[in-house]
Amino acid sequence: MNIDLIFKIAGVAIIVSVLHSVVKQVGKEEYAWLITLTGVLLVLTLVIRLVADFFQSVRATFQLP
Amino acid sequence: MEIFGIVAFGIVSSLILLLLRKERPEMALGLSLVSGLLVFFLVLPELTSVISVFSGIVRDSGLEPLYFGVILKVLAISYIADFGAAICRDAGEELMASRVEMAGKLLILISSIPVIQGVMELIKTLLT
Repeated sequence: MNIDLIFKIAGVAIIVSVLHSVVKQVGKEEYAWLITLTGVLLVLTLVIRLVADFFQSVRATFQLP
Repeated sequence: MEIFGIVAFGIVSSLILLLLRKERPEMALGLSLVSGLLVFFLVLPELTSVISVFSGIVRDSGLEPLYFGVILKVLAISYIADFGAAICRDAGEELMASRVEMAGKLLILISSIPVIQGVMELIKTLLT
């Protein structure tokens, strides 16, 4: 049980938002899109391990092979 | 008491989600996925004791242990399918959510085939 993952994702979202608006102000739309993609990938790498853990623990709880 | 932790957790993550939803909908999806999983992780250990009690009852009553395995499998499929469908629906993908639910229903039907076969065998032995 780790609540800091929530704050980690919120922090990533805030940083991506700030970077996005800064880059947009400078006028580089294509970099702004890349920043969003990087943020999504970062969150996905954080989440995917938790999802695997979840499947494993459901399997253990219900005594499935 | 687990419920205090779960409620506090839900309120905190809803607040953060409310902030994120407008700016970054894709991050909000990841966050809601994580918070749903964490609530599951809080509840799942409690379920283990319930399942061990039920398996003790099944063992004492002399029922076929295969059928209890089927029940557990159906329960697991329905939990996971419900979770996946809720995440898809949260992202606004109604089609994907209904496909996931339908796949869950089909898999439940497939895994309950041994029970139907057992009933048929019982009817056959009763008739002859």
